[in-house]
Amino acid sequence: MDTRRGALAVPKVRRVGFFTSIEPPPDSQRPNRSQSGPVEATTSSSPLSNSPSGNLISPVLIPPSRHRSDNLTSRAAAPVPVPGPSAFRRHLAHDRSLHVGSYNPADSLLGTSPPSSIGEFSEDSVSLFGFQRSDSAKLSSSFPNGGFDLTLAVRAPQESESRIANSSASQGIKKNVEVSGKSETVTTQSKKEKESKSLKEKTSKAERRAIQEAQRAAKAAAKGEGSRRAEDSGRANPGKAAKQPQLKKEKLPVTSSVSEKKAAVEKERKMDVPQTQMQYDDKNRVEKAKKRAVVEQTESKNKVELFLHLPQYERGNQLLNLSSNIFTLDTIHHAVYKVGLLHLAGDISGDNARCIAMLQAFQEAIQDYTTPPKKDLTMDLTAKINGYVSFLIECRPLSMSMGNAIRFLKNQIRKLPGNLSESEAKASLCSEIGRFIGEKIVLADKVIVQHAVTKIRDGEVLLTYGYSCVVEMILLYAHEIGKKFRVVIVDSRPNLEGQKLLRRLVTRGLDCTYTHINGISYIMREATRVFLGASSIFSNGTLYSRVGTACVAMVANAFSVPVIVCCEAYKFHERVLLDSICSNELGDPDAIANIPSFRTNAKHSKTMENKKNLQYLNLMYDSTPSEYISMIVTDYGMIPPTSIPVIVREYRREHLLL
Amino acid sequence: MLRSSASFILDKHLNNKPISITHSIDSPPPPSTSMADENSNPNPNPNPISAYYQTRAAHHGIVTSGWLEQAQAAVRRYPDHDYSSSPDSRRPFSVIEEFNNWRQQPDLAEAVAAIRALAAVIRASEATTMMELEIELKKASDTLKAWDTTSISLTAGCDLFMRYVTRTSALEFEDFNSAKSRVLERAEKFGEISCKARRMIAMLSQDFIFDGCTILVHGFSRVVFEILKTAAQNKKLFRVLCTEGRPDKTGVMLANELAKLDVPVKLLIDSAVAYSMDEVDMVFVGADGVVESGGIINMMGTYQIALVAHGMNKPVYVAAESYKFARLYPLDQKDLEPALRPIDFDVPVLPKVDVERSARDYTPPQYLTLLFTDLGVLTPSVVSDELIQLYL
Amino acid sequence: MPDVQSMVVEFVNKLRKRKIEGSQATAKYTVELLRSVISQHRVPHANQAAALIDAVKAVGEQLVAANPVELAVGNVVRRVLHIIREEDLSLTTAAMAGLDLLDASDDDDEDNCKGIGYPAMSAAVVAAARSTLRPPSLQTLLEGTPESATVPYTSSSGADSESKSKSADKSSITRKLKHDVIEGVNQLIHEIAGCHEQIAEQAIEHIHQNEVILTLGSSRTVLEFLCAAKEKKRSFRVFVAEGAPRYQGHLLAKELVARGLQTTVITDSAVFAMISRVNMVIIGAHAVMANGGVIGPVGVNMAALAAQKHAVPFVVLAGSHKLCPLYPHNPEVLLNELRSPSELLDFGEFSDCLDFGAGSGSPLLQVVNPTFDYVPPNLVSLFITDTGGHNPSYMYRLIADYYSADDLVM
Repeated sequence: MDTRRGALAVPKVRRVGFFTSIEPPPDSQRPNRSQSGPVEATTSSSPLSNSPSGNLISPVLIPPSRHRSDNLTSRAAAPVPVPGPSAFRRHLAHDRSLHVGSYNPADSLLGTSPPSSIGEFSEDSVSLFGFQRSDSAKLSSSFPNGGFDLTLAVRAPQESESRIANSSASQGIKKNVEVSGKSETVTTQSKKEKESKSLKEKTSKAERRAIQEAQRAAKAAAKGEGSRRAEDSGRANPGKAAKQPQLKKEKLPVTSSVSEKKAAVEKERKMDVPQTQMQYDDKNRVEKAKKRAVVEQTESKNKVELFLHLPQYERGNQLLNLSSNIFTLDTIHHAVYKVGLLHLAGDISGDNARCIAMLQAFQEAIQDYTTPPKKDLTMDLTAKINGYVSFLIECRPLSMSMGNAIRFLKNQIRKLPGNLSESEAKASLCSEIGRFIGEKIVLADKVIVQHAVTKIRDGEVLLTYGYSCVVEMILLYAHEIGKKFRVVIVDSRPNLEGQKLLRRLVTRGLDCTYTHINGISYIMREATRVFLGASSIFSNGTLYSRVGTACVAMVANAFSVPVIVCCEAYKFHERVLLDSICSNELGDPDAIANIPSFRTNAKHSKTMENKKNLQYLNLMYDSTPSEYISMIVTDYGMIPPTSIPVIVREYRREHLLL
Repeated sequence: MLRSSASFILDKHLNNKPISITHSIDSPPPPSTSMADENSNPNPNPNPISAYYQTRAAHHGIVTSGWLEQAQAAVRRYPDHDYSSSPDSRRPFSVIEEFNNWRQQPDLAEAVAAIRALAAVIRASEATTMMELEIELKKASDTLKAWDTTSISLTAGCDLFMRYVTRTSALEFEDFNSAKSRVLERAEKFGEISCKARRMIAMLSQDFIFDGCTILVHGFSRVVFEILKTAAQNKKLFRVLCTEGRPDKTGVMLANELAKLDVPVKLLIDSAVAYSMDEVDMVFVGADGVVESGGIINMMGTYQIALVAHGMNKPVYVAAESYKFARLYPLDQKDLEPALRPIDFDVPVLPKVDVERSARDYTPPQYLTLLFTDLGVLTPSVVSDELIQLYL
Repeated sequence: MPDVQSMVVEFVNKLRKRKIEGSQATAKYTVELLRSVISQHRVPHANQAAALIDAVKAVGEQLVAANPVELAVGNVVRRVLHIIREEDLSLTTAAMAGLDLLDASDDDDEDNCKGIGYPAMSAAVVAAARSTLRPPSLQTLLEGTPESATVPYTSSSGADSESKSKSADKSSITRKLKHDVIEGVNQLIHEIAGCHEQIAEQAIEHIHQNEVILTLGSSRTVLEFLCAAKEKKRSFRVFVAEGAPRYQGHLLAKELVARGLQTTVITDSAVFAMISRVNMVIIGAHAVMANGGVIGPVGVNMAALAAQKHAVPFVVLAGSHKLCPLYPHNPEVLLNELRSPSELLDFGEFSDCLDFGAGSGSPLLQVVNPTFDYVPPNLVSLFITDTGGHNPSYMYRLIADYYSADDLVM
């Protein structure tokens, strides 16, 4: 039992160390900088507490830098260069720091480092939890001198085994890991406190506020957690959600309920929001992710330069591999596995469908779940879910709405009252999921339909793009209640989802016109309303939806046709987005290359040799500026795009009180 | 109804002085024409209502020419011959009188009237050389222009004719008499050209009126009416939205005329333009003058309509004869001589209340889509090209 | 004569069946056909220019009617007419000058016929004739002979023909006119054939290092333009919208790749997403209208709007044969062509729903597959023609240079 505990514990601490140590690699440009401060503080708390570990991270993180100044030993550790894409730059920073001999460099790095750390953290926390541990174990084991780590790794065999053989990560990382490992021994809290305090003095106001918020959030969370977790939290909780409570719990006095609530909201926001996509131009991270991956993906040989930060894999063989593996992989629940396969194959498309499928699979998985002995349901289940999610991400990047749903689920798990039995907890979770599906998706759609239908008058020509199930429901319902209108379906390659909608509408007796997106300027003069579905709407009003939506909205705007976006509130996201480049998903390039025309086939062979210069880019999403949107129909009613942040806020509140 | 409403012209005459005084106090730059003219002109136009406006009113039938004559006679402080205090009043001939005679013919454009008047000057001239004739003409044209500084087509017509005379004299006609007769002949023809231009514009614009379209028109423009009439005769199916055209209700006139032609027509109050714009396919307006930038000066409200149409991506077509092209370049609304007109508010307006009485506004070229002229269909940028070529 | 007729018929059929793709090819065919029409046309001694014009017009009308949306046909026909008129005019002036100075007998002849002195008349006639070659302007409104203003063409042609018919060496002048016209038409052919090179020469002025260029459709002009920049050692990247459902973008992309350019094919729907990273949009026009509007491959308006939104220059390449002297009215519909629905939907899949005009009572399904798109002039940043770069607002002037006012309406 002791060993088991130890084994578990190691990964957890490792994980933290691992995070910090790895931070260097991810490139510094992460989108959500503001959130980075607090999260970083909370996440990195344990390594920070120990001076050596802190030093290791120093190149990137603020806290370490402070440490360095405090601690002479830190100097030695700090300069260790981290190989990798961004290593050079960091290295320079190091040198500078050395010359100056103070924490100044760290301060200068402030701007860049937190984001990277946070990106790292969030990404891992969302997706790859199950593998993180193994990774860290692997890293430590591979390090020659890291005796302590090595032993730990050995003690945690099942995860690390397979990875040990893998080539070690960068030296710097190794070292970091080693030191972080050492740091474990020291008690975390007091150091951490000191750390944060010293931080407070030196960091900017914003930084300070962020840290304070984090603390408050952690405090509140700790309180919320209840007493049950007190013991467990000390060591064994790998999930970040669990970790935070633990830190504060001992430390901070309980605050009033109001502040708690607020803090909880804050924390909620801080913790759960920043799931950005992994930046695939970061080689180290990609390497690691690959090692963890269940799905074998071969990187596409001919990447589009502009989108190196997005995964570009060759399609075709993963499905085969996966389906053959189905019985050998026991880490993934079969229901989740099925959903993953469906996503991968593209058999499920549409955000709502994907999200519901995922949630139902989780439901099933939770029902089949039994807490391993000596483990906490909350922690372990979160870990499991994280594992599933990372698997799903490998199959296909999550949509924003799925991310929201996952956050919801994790929140539910975290908020489970401590006194529930396992079966009760499971039942409660399942019913919550069911309720989420019912309320936030199914019922929301009904409300949206009711609202939207009031905007359809007789004799109108409604234009829609691609296939959106809400729009389909609206059209069919309007037809049912006897409105006379005509539908224009605009479609685009390569998915041609519009044909599905066309088929459904035509069989129901609606009068339809079908065209490709190129003909949009031609057909728009006829249209009187444009109905669009959404994948997500960001808090700056940007509509994130299937690629081409922006074109349709733009042309509609040019022709002064009102654009109505139908979107369930659970898809709203508090991130902001300006363009379609930074955050997107790349589809199979071959889908574009293969065209139903004999003309190009003949020339195909000839171009093979030039393939280096020829790329196919299959963007899946684009972002529509809010100025093109006349109205957003949600389950909260019809709102202008400027009110998105309001809905996000309200939604969070409601969500939290659930 | 229309007749009765026209009596405001007389009423306003009597009230005009106080109002114009307040005007000049408040805003010295645009003083009422009467004040300005009296101060600056040897041959003041005693009529505080701009002659430009009178012509419009006369042509649109709000006030018949006879009625206007009476009104003027009644209002006039000065007897007729006061006009002829112009430089060429040595002879019992006044270019202004001549101009006024021509002007009162319905269907005769102001520019044509001006050219006819100038032709009369030539006829009456005793000059023996081209140079003398030119000087004389120049004086007459200046007089004419000064008499009503607000009328752009008058100015444009005078300029155009003067330019022609200059060219003719510079060109091949050393023989004074043949040159003179040639010039006269052109002047006579000019009236024809004006009518022909309208026909031509109507023909050109037919392509642009497609079946089922909705056209918004503003005010009563003879050219626009010709266009719509031709379209109706060509059995095109279209609908017209007429603005009311406050305060002289010219839009009502047009609506009635169109209704007589069995064209479906809907009357809007001027402020309903934006409301109705989304059902409009194109906007047709006339022009009092087309300025160098390619913009137009037209009845008050045109700018507003063009802005709305531009905002909603609707084409704005201008129908204007090419002799309305004028070498003017207003930079903004206040950059042109205001043509004042009386405005009849249904409720009494206290004298303290300042009233914007300008009769027209300037629409910059970026809000115009195309100009239909007798030179063909033009983009606004061509106007400057034509003017440069002519006056270079 | 008969073989010309058969050629015309063949070409008309080709046009009708849309067998000829691309405005350049069409223009070339047209002008070559017109050349043979002219060369085989037996010119009467009297009024030969008018006869030639009539012949060309007759053929031109057939061709235009065969495919009214292929504006290049009409443009070329008008260009040829313009050439005839100009050659005619220059011959006339030359002849008159010659007559004036040298040939007394001819002068007498003229004097006998005409009441007034020839020298004075000649200037007037030439002025009048010249005026007819240009569109009417403010100058001509008051100037010129009165008749010429009212009935512009007749005066000049009448005078010309008269003078010519009276001239002593009729046959030589006849031959001369035809020869000159054919010479002019040959020049036109040369110009059409060489427009790519002319345009491509300017590429270097517009494309800089590391530029990202977006293009649509498959235009040889664009291809040559980009390659010309590439040859000048500029390295840049090209995004090509695939242009569904005809996928001309794929063709273009392959050609570009074959010439060693970095090319990325994107879906048409991704145009808006990508435009923010594009430095310039370059497209080849199908036709350029007199107001500066552009008829281009379908989808181009979308790209133009997106470019405007992101302040990306929108550059249109157009050979001078694409300049159309007409002002567009409702061009999206009238100057468009709807192609087969089968390009969008598989045959059979929706055949039960498609309306075949049978009125079967089944729900209507329309499939819209337009060929062209109209870009209003305010969205165009620059035109690059074989004569250089021009603003959209200046296109009317180029057009006035190329065409006679009388030919605008055919």
